[in-house]
Amino acid sequence: MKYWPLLWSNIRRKKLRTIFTLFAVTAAFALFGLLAAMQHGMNGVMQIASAERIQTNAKLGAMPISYGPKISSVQGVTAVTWFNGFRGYYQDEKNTFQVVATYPQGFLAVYPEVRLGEQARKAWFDDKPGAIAGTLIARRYGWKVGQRIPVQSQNVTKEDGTKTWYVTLDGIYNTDLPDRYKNFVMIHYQYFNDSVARNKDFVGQYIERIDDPRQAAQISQRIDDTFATSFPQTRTASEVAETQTFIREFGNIGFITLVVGAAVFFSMLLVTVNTMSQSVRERTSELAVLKALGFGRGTVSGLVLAEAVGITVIGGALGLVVAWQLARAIYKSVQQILPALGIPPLAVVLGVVLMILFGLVAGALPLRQVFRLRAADALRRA
Amino acid sequence: MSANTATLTVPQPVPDPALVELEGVTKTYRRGGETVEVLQALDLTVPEGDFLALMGPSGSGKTTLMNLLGGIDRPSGGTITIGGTRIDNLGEAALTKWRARHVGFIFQLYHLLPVLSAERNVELPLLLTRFSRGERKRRALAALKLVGLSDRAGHKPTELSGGQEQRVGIARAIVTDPTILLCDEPTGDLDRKAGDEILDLLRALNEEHGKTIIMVTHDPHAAARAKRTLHMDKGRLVVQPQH
Repeated sequence: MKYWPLLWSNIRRKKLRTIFTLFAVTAAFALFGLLAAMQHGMNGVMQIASAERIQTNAKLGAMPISYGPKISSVQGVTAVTWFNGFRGYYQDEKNTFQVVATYPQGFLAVYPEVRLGEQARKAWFDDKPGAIAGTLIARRYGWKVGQRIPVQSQNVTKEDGTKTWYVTLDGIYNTDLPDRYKNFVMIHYQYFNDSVARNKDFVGQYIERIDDPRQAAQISQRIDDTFATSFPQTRTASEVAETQTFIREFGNIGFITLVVGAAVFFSMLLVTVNTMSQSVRERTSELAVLKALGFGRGTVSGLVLAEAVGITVIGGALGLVVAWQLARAIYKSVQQILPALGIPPLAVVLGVVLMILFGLVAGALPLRQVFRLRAADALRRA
Repeated sequence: MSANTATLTVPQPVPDPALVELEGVTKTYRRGGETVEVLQALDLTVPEGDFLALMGPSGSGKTTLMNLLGGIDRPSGGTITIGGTRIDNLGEAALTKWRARHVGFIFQLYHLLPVLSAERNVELPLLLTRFSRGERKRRALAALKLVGLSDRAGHKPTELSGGQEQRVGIARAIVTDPTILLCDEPTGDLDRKAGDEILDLLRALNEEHGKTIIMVTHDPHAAARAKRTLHMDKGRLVVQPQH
């Protein structure tokens, strides 16, 4: 700490240059963080996908609820659930979350990743105005099991003209899926459907669990064949296949963004490293004075490297904070397609390692020059 | 050897104890394909408490000799003993430690760090000690007081005159109470008045505080303030002809 005044004075020596350097490092690591978040989001899509699940969508519009029993009777399908719902909020319009209307028994059968106690399961199954909520949303609003919760819709209206569904919290579920999945409120489709004003008896999507993932394509075909002469026709595919299609379509853009972003990241850092090296080179004679005063190689190196690493770590940390905020903002728009979007801890660790590494390189390059130069020569040149 | 100089064997008897002893010191550089002999078999003894001026034309080897005495350069041959320590064969780290403890440098161009206040500049050598911040501050302020700059402790070098900058340089050189002060043209960048003040200060440090000082200078007026003067030419100590 006794060297801090010296370090701090050097950092403030050319304030504008330091600010621009910090800004460049911040921008570079904000980009790094965003790229990491996007990459994590893309990877997350595949991890969430289950080979034992297939999904049925309408080729046009929504599907009638009457498709449900027919799908469940298709050979190879072991469980079916369906989704409808709305964007809801609690007390204040800022407190938004996704309300999913589903068939409870089917939902828990199709999604074994969702963990819910036996007592809560039974309570929810038997309670039409009942609901379950993810751990995160329950914690955020302080909900307790048994609490009556007014869930308000942003757009969907009830037959009586109101937009509030009163539900009783029967249980709080947990899951290893990304956090987004812990922010849902799941309600009975029947309860929702009984009172919704429009699109009654229609669902947005069916999700099926199948007995043999190797038969996913054939089972999907059987489902689509069932509705070949119906309106709307369906398009069924395994979650993995759907995800792969998504990755192919979206992933190409993602890959290009990743490559361009990485190139920009390294370019910015190289420019920054050069600027920082230049700032040290300008002080060669001062470093020689320190050597003449008795500062050893280790101490002089430590001062130069600490200054460089300090700038990259401060700038880099700010960059990751910016990236985190940006990722949070972007997540709100893309959570349906990239539910795992977010900066993973491993990326933060890698980021810190890169910050330190670039700082060391920025300081080490001019240090070589400082050590090649004898103090006597440097003092004479000054 | 030039026509008006002769090889010097030390011109007057030197009182004991000897603080600085150079025996057969040589220094050569390679410049292009040529070897340049900057110092030639130089013998020199400086007693403790001496104030020695080294004069000579540019390129005579004065600054090289100072750098060797200060341990920021190494001789090509011969031995250098200061305060009983052979410094010519010390390793890099040991030499750096020795320098921090025993040598105070005063440079022609002051070489203060522009980003630090006068007090922080003076404190620099103390950063290498185990003193607390409070003790470092106390010593730095005492050194500044000694050079008459108590009221400028918070000023940065750019806010000081040349003479004041050199005083800060002197305070920095003496703050660790070194064995020897090495001054390289300490008044070379100052006007006569400021230069005289610096020379008065060096004289006081020598006479009142017993500091051993070796000063390189071109200026006979400055050299006259030293206790004795030696002349160098072409890497040798020479007898200056009497006029």
